[in-house]
Amino acid sequence: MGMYRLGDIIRMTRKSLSITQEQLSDGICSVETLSRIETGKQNPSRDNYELLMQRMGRIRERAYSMLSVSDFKVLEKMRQFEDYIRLYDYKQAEIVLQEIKKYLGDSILDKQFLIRAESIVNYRLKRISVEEFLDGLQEAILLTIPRYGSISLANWPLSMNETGLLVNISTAYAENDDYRKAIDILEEANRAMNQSYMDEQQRINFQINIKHNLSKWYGLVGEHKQAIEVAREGIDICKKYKLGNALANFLYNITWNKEQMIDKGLLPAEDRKECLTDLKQAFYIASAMQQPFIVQFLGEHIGKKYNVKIGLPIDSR
Amino acid sequence: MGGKAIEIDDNKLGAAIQYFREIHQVSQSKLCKGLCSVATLSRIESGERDVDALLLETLLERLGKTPNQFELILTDFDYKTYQKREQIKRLIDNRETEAASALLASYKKMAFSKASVHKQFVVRCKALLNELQGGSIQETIELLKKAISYTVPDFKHYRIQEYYLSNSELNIIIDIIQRLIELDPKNQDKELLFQVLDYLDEHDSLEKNNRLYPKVAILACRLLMKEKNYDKALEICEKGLERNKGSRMLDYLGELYLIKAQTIEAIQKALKDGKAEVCIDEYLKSYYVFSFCEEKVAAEEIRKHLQEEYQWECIA
Repeated sequence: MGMYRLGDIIRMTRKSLSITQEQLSDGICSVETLSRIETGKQNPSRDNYELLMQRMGRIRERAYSMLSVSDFKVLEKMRQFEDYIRLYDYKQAEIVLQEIKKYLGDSILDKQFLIRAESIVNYRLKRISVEEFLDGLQEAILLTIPRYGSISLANWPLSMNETGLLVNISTAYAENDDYRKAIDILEEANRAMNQSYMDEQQRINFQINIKHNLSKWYGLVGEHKQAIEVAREGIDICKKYKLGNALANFLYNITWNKEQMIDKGLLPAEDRKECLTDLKQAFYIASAMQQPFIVQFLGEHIGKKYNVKIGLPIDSR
Repeated sequence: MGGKAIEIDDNKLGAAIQYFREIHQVSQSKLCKGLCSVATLSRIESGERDVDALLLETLLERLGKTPNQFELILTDFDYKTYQKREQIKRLIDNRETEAASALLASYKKMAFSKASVHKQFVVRCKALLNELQGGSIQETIELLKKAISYTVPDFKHYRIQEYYLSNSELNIIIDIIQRLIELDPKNQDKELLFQVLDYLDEHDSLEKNNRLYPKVAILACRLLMKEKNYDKALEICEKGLERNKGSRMLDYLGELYLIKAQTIEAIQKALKDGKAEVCIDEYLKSYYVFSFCEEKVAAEEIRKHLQEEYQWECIA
């Protein structure tokens, strides 16, 4: 019975993904170091172990053999934090963040999490400007991609944290009305998804998120055809994996852009019929997905723009 | 870069199991029931190294956790059996039954005597192979029952409430239920189905169980509707939808809304009262989910029904 070491775990995980030592070590450590780690001649530092595993899509929360009991607590709180962010509940997120800070370690991934989390909370609670928000996010991403800003990330095997950070950064640019810059960043991240080793589920969630933002922003800068195409790609992913949560948004993006083109005379007025069909589909999918705000929004839009009543009157819902 | 040498010299996975077990307030005896003795679980929790990887995986899975697989691999035996299991699963997915059978035989030689989880794996694969090779449903059901009994010894009395089950174990039980219904559409043997539903209802703290609930709810609703017990069917259907809230997935939704529409329709008919638009609304949700998922037959049936029953022509 052999004693398996962290090097073995890294080697076995790497082989199961069929990636080379060069691909895995790029930007984390030298190929020689990785080779020594894998053959057990050298033990990885905790930072290197975490960075290598994270690049291979292994979620830290599942790295039970690496963690102590206090780590389990921190990781569970981190998940809670992300849940509150997703629900736009920044006050609760901050309360959880204060608890996390009491127990947080000082590895690179810990620091990256902390800088990102504090930047988001402070910006959303309007304590810092959008420029300061951007500075914080960039400081965080530089921790694991030291050459960020001077290299293209289109071929970078982005990890989950890094992709999340890029989405945050692009959103910050968009909220500063710099849609062009926001689109550039997301296009790069979008291309990088193809060589990411992230697990499939996470990758798909990011792809949908990225395409949704891209389609919105292309529309806002007037590139309606591009916006529609990206939204269609998003719908294809939803169809392939039977995902419903972003579907109504994609369908709305398509019709919104078509409506703009009709108004500008770029599409014939008859296309309004198609738009209404898509909107109806969006309305009922959002109802089925139990997304009341989207349902209400779409119902009002259909009523105003097409003079059509849809769904049940409020009192019999 | 500095940093202490980290070697998995003692098994921290044990600490993880103990931690999650205590969070979920599960006793040692309940967690390990059918898998290993309480004494063995105690040794695992205190960091003993010589533990079968598949056993560790099942323990963590019963607590709703998915581990990094390679971390569980502590011995050569674990590594070889892990690789074989993956290969067998792939072959079965690709319907290469002969190659799968051959590999399964060699796996059996290696691992069958080691732990109940290995026996369960072997017999479950046999059941799937029996089905792929055109064997009888009865035989498949018997094999699946045998497979689940390795880790749920009381299964024949259907006493699953006394266990804390993993997703794989629940899936074997659901496989059995589906085949029982296929064999006997009225399913005289409803007890198991409703036990699983109750089980999932009581164990709703684990996210994964929330994904299973709609699947089982659909089976139960269809059965209740055959018995014309529409009130109960509607109640379970609505619970299924409630539990599906927040999930990103579309699967099961078309079916659940169809059941909702049909049960409301039946209740309204019996009462000779009710608004047609309430039914139509539920039918339309179902229609649009089915048609997006390209389940054309199901979608077309709804369209026709709406046209005939309600003279509804508004689907484009």
